[in-house]
Amino acid sequence: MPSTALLIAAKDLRAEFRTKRTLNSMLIFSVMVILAFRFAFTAGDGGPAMVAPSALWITFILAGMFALSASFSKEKDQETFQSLLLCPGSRTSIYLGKMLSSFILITMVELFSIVAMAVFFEYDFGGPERLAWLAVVVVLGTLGFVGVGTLVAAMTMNTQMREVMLPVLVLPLVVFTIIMPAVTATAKVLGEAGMADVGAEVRLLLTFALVYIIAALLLFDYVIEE
Amino acid sequence: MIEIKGLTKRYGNRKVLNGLDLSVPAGTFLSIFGPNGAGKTTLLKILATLARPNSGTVTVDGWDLAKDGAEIRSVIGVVSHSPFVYGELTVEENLRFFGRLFGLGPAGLEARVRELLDSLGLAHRARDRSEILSRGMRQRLAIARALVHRPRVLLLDEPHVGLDPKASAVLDRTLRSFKDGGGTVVMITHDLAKGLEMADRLAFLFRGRMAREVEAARTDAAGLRQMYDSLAAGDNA
Amino acid sequence: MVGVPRKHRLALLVVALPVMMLAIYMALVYAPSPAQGFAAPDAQRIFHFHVAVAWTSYVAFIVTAVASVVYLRTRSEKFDTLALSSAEIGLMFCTAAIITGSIWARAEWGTFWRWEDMKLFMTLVLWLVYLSYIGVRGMIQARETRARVSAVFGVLGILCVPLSFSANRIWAQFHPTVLVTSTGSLQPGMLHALIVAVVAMTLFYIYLVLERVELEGLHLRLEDLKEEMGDDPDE
Repeated sequence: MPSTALLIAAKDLRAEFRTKRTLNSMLIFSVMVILAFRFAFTAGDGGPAMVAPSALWITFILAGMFALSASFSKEKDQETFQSLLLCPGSRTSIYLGKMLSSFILITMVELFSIVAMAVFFEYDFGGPERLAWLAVVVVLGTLGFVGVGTLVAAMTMNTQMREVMLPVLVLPLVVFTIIMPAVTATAKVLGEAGMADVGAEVRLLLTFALVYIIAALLLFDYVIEE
Repeated sequence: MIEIKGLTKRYGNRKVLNGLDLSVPAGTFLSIFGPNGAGKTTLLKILATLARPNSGTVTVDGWDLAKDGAEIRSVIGVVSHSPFVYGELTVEENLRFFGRLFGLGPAGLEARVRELLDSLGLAHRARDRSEILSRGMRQRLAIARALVHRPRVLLLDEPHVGLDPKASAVLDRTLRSFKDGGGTVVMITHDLAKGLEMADRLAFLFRGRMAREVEAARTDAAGLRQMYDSLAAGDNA
Repeated sequence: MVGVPRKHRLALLVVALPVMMLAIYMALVYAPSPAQGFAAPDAQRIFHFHVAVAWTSYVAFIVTAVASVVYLRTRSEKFDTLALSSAEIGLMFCTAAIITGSIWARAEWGTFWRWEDMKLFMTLVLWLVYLSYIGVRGMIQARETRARVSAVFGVLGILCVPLSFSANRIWAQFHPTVLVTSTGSLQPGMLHALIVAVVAMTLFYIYLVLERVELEGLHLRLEDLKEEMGDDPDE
């Protein structure tokens, strides 16, 4: 029932914007990572153009972990996850709701990171057409990451050291499937070559997002049952 | 209302529930007593569709637990020692959220929320975040949450633990009026006196089975104590 | 437990060992050196083992994924035990594949690793995924939760391999591509040696998995006994 998913996502965002704990830590973290890249590569030979695509995605993924992990650990700590499970809606709508709220939070942080990147690296992201392509790549890459990440976050909710286990489990699944094509596409969009041929990457990112989300819908029930 | 036959639940090789049979007619208040580890909480979790049994059949209000989980969830309410509410949200936001998850429409929802806030004495705290409430107030909210969709069955796991006398009295009053409205209650408790005071029927759960069931009217506090002790002695032997 | 009797396991070892000896002989002595096209012809001999262990590790991970699916369907603990055992042994073979590959690459190409090589790449993906698989198991105490969660990850892991593979194709276009054509220049003697090596490693894998299953059975039995002695693990 999609309305259950929307209710859960709205509830998550309302609770988050009341305290902004997760959002604030994600924003501060992103600035730190981008500054770290800035300092580390000042004297580098490639210059900002080489660093920007990878730096952006590393920032997105690492900051995104906070949103994914908080989404479930808040429910776990307050034991409210039980009360979600007690509601008549299907269990997969919990997944969709959590995915949606994490996606919105992460997208906000990504937008902020891109601006921070432009400022600190004095980077020119170019005209509206480039930005539109960048947006497509970012949205699709984030969708795939959140799609698989929400499932894994639900898995790690019941493990010890869940804050460590989440990245340990998510990274091998996304480094090659999401991060690599996303970085390549971002480099193409931002690079001298223009966005002539990011079609293949965009198709791949879309495919990966769909495959991960469908797999998660099929597997989510197994993850949360007791 | 609730029919359980041959219910078995294993964790690893350990049988927590071992062929348990239980029948709770509609409108009954049943108290279940038993030592730690006897399987009481597991039984409640299975009834609440939070845990899957390994074998056995369970029906609640005519619905089969194995296939009609969503239907069962819409007729039960659960209160545990933990309140299951969101600390960042206010009292009324919590109730609205859960009411909508149970499919209450906007008009009916507001009326229901008002009604619960008034009857549980929460109206003056409606706009406070639930994380700043006292334990007693939060438990009242937990009861309101469990009742928001007008369930026909209430499942209670040690609901009185940590409550002051006043909050405890509010809980008792709410449970009585729920029962008077034709509701069925299953309550797990260690408090023999409280269990006896509220219930029509009493059941003793030892080692994953119902060791004994009696009508509450047929016994008193001393008799109940004696019954429990003799069962516990047999259990340890 | 679920395992195979000790007698049969030993018999399997007795068969596997001579085949392994034969594989070593064939790879090092029987097989000819590649006639041309290789910078270090004799280093090519390690490829018999390399291909065999790599192939075995793929088989092992597929066994883990299939056992995971069966576990989720049946909830029978023996399939979880099989999934774990195959993942651990598979990780060992996978490590051997990476090491042997790197040794060969050093001799042939002068570098231990080529990021552009899709086979190296896929092996690394598998290695990372199943390392995490084993890692997450250590972090969950409750046995059923552990089995369930790791089964889901076992399925996700195998799913991400073809995805990574197609991602790498894109990347390979971006960079110069060097593909190892391991069958392209195979002479008959080398092919024989390769087949024997694959058979030897597969037998060895089956033997190790059976032993590991047995060991895990004992481990679970110990957990049971500890639980029986301890009081009240219900809450």
